[in-house]
Amino acid sequence: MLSKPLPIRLLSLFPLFLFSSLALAAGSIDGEVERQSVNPTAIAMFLVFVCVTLYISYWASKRTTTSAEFYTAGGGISGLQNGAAIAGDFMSAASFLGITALIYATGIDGMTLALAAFAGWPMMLILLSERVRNLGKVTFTDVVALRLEQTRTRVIAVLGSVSVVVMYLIAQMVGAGKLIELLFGLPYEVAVIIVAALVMAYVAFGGMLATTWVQIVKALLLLSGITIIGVLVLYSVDFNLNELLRQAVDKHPRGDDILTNGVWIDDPIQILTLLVSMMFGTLGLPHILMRLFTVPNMEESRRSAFYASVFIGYFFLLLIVAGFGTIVFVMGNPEYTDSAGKLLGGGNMAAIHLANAVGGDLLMGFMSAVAFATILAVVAGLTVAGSAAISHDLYAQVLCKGKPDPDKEIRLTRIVTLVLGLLAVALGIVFQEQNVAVIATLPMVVAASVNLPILLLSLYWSKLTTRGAVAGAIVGFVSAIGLIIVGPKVWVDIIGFEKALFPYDYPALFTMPAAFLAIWIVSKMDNSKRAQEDRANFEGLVRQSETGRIA
Amino acid sequence: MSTSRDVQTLIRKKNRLRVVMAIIIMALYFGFALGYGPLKALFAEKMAGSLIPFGLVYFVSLIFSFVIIELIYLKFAKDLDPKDEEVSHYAK
Repeated sequence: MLSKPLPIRLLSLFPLFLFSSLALAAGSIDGEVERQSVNPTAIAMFLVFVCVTLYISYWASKRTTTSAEFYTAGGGISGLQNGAAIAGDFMSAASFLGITALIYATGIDGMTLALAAFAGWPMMLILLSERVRNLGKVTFTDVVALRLEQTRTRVIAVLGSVSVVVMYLIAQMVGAGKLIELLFGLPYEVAVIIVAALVMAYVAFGGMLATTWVQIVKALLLLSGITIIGVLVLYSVDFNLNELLRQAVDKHPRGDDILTNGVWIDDPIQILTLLVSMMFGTLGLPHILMRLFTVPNMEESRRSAFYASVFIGYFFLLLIVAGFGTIVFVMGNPEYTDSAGKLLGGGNMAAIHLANAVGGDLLMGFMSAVAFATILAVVAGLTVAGSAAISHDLYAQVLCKGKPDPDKEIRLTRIVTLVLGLLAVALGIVFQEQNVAVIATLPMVVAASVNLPILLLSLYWSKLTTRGAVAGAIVGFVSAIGLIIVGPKVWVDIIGFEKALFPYDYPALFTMPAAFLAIWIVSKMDNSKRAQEDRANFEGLVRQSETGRIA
Repeated sequence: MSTSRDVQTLIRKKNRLRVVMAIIIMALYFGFALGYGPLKALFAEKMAGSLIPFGLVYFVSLIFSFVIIELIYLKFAKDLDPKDEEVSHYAK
């Protein structure tokens, strides 16, 4: 039996959970991993998923001939379908495994992460879904560059997009390698290559249409899986939440403390930095924003964001039930823990063990396969976004001044997709031994500090100028990277100093306002001829953004 | 409705709606951080006769409230969308 006070073995899991929020953000799995024995049920179910999704890619490839079809699935996706695809793009394996693991270790603090991951969605609906849809064609960079000077604006927005995509990709690939090693018993390198090869097949042939349907299938599988687990857990306590909590309190070495905030992080500012990074980071993710262009109009775009938030909210509510379920069913159970009380396979295995405890090998195999599918769906979304940033934003819009040869563009798009796939394998292997916690922190913070300020102000502030946007993006980028370097994860954990120069893990609370301030000051001081043009363009932009008609 | 509405007024109204709703969402959301500071005791408070802490109730209520706010926004935003003839009039 585990004994109070908090045992060392539980404390030893803490480094894992201290960064699982960012892992959740960027979908990475980290921490200790012990390769499991080969799991035939999981592999069989995963192979079914692969066959179905490859067929989808084949079907989609016949409908993907132009670059517009490649990037936006021809704009023919409905709001409900897109909402499901967004949920599939956004709900990561790490949110499923990471939040349940956090609840397993610390109790109710896991809900803070769930809330942080959910709360960007109503803001997306209200502030961005309509205007972004009406102004852009392929990427959020289109929107930002519409009223500002094309070349400079696109270059800085591409910097924001590509850096977020690459950092997210690294976190995903390293996470994928570890997760698949953990769940399927496959070697790390093999796992990374399988993920990249499948994603290249989906994206290079089927573009956004295939990616959309892969994400929809994945979302439905993940939601079905979590529903089954949630219902089985609740069934075991006669659907009495109070009884579930009572049993969890009885089982957990921290007892009643698991129902109190602050076991995980006991600092309101640290929590605030996390909440800011997650909410505003979500609003600046290029692969998520890109999904808004796959629907035919702004009404469907609004619906997309709404349905996405319904799916994601439902997922996180059930995740809380599953989290407490792990304490009741897995903690102290000799089938899933060693003699020291440590989870077999590592801290991330709580949810998978729970699936086994409530649904046997079949449900465990199913959830393992879903976790694998989840990674594929997220990496596919990232690959489309990365490919669009390079082929559409840089090549077609900057180098060809908006008039590319359509055949060359689509060819380049597919080549970039393949290059990104190879890059993903290389990055996954190079960063295999690195602390991906750092890499996984970056995308949300950079998205909140670079992409969001320029996007939001380009939509809503008449006085924004090109110079202001460039200055804000640079300030956001440099301050985000700089504060992460002098923060606890790099300064202490990697470089080895005793104390961090900056005490918080997620600097967006400071770097995002810094970017806004820089944009405001520089735009205000900007009296250039271009600045006058930028300001004069605002009225036409508002008209287009609200009516969908070009002025 | 047959009367043509002024598109600029519609845009102003929608922007006001966006600002009000975004402020409500952020206030509710960032209020959650208080549960780690000044309101920690309140968040740990158990709901009558149960083990369910206020923090959990707040979390669940936030998810539902956000979805309700979104539904309200969807309804009002649709009403405030300019119709084709109104846009044509505005474009002139």
